[in-house]
Amino acid sequence: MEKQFHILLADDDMDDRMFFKMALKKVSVPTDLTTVEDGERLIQFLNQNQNNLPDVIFLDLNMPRKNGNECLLIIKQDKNLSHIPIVIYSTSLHDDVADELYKNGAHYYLQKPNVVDLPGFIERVVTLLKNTAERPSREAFIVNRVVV
Amino acid sequence: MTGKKNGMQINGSGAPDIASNTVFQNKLIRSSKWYVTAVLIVSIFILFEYSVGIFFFSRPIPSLVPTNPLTALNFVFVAVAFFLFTSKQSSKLKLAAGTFLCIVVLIICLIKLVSLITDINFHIDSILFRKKLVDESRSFMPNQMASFTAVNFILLSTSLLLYNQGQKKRGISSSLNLLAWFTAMVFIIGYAYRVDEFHRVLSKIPMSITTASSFILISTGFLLANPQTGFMNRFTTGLAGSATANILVRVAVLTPFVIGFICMLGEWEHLYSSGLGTALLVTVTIGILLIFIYYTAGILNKKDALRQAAESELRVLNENLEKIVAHRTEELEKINKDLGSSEQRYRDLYENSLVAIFSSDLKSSKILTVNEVGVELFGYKSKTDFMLNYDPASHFVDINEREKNIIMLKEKGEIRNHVQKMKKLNGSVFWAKLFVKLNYDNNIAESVIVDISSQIEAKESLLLKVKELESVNKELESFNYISSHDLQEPLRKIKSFVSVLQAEEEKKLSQEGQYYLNRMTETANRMQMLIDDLLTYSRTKTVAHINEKIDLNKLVDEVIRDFNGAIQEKNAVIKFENLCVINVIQFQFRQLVSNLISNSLKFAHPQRRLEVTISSELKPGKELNTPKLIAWIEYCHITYKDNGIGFDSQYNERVFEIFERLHSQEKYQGTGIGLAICKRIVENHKGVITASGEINKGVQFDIYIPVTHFS
Repeated sequence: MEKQFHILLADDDMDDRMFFKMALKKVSVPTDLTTVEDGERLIQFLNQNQNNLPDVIFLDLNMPRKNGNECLLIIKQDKNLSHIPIVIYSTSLHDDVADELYKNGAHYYLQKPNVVDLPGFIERVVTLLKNTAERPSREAFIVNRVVV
Repeated sequence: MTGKKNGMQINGSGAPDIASNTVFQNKLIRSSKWYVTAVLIVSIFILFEYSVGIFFFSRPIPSLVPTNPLTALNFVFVAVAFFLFTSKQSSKLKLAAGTFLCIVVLIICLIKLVSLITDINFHIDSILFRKKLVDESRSFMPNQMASFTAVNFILLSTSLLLYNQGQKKRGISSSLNLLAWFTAMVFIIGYAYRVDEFHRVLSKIPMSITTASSFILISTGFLLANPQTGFMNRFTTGLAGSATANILVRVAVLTPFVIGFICMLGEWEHLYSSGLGTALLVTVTIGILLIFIYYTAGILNKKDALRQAAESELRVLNENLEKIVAHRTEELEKINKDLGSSEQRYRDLYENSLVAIFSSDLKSSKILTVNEVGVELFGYKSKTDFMLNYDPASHFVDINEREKNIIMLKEKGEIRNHVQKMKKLNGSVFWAKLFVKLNYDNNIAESVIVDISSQIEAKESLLLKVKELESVNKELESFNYISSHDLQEPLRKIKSFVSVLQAEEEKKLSQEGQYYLNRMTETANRMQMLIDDLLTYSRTKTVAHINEKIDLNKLVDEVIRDFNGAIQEKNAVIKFENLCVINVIQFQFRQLVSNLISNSLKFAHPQRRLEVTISSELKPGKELNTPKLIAWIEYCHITYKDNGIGFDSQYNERVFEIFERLHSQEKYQGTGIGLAICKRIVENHKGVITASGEINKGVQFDIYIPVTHFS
């Protein structure tokens, strides 16, 4: 059996965590999901599971206690964790913020879409990450833009 | 004499003669020295003759009386005294010596006279060469000084002493000389005409011929030495009278003397009787005098004619001069009058001016003048109060400011537009704008002070209002932005839940439930649209103005491509060509064109094919006939026109208002923000947008964007 792709989702929003779970059911790639409710718990989780680190972290930006960017910086400065690809997962999308996050070492930026579109985006990102561990170019950094 | 001088000045014709006058007089003074020198030499020679025993000058004719050595000595004294007095380098010593010599001569002659009158012989004239004189006295007469010789010496020495007593006494001095001259002349004529009475009656001992000649010479010399004083002046002025007199004097002296002598010679030789001799003398004298009178009359006439010509010329010149003077006076009066009125104008300006003006002396810090405004501005009672009591210390909020002002003033000569706080006399502070000009010559500063407190207050309150407005605007914008942004998240969730419901639970719902679910989706979409437009609208203002040169042709082409699907669906035609290249914010202008095309597509007329035309032209504001445009600025005028359903022209203004919608939501979906965004974008570019709609015909938008770059 194919090894399950371990996804860690850090998002304080209960609904969004639920939508993510629903979407994963429709993703053809086999995945395994762990969720944490804020940045503090994310770092705590990573430190306690050094032997069982996730294959990717979906990171919300706007979280209590420790926001996404802070977590990103901590992870990328920790030599044990820095190899984990990080996908920014946020409602908003601003180019200057995206620039900053790309500079800080994030792999992809996924703007939270309607739940019907979410499985497709997750599948695309997971596939890309499975194929190569290298970071994409800045142009390929942003996966989607939500347009009405 | 004085009268004559005055007359000379009035006539003016004598003026050129004054120069020749002094030249002539100087000549006379020089010649006088020769006369006196001659007498001096002869006298010294006579003394020499006595010492060696020859008689040449002392007795030229053996039958006549000789010159006494004392007489010769007196001549020497008088002559030396003369030279001492007239010496150019006069000194006290010379004057004293001359006076002494004169007094000696005077005393000698007085003693002689006394001895003659009293018949007591003091033998004063025998002191010198006594032996020789005794030897000689065997002849018919004793060798003594003649009484008239003594008198003449008294006259001459007195004259010399008077000469030395100053200008006023020189007249008397000259008269005494003349008297001596006449006395000597009598003896000369006596000798010439061999008149015995001179020897026997007039004096016991006659004056020797050498003595008489010497007197003539020396007194002439004395007279000539002093040509400008006394009666001599009449002969020496160089005026017509003097010129005539000069000739006539010689004629008057020489004619009778020479003619008389010739006639006398004839009588002595018994050629004719004494009666005929006298007749001849008179006739010839008359003849010669007539000739000279005729001659001098000619000279006088000539001089007078010249004078008259000069006078008339002078009169003409005088008249011209008077005319010129009158003209100049008139001009001066006019200038004075003009000056007066300009002075008055200046006064009026000074007093009626709206600014405070005063001048002050920097050295003494004193106020010289001030106008009423100045008095009032600084809070004084009157001009005098200001001028007497003005103290800089009570008017400068910071007295160091005054020092700085003075330093700047001395450096640059002026202060312009300097604004500083000043105080009135009662302590209230006002904002003063200063203009000061320094006159370096007299250190006087002219100051103009304007109270600009109200201006400054107005400006400050305006600035405060602007700041308030800016902060309120900023708050509004950020509220607008944040609220729109934060609304997105729950909306996205609602849409997601609806999507999940539709995907997974729809079949369980009744038909009505399904309808409600659809309506919910539409409402959520509409809300999404509203939020997006609001975000765009608020962002339109917040974005920094980065203007770049944009080719509108390219921009419109790109927007059309974005709408390709909708355009094909509606079978619409969009025409554009030769659009301007202008400085605009690219993404905003793209939004503008996009909104307009989107509107046209939305409001296309159902019965006809949609046609949109976009054109542009470059024109200055004054040619565009649209209010709010600046006449001298060049605009890119973009005309956007469609043939859609249009709208009533009464809504031409309202279409640009936010949330303004002209059609029902069911028929035409929209937020009512699109055109408001368009207007905001155009205004961001300092431009103007107008709409003119016509029901069922279409709508035309006119956009004017200034070509000149504004920062």
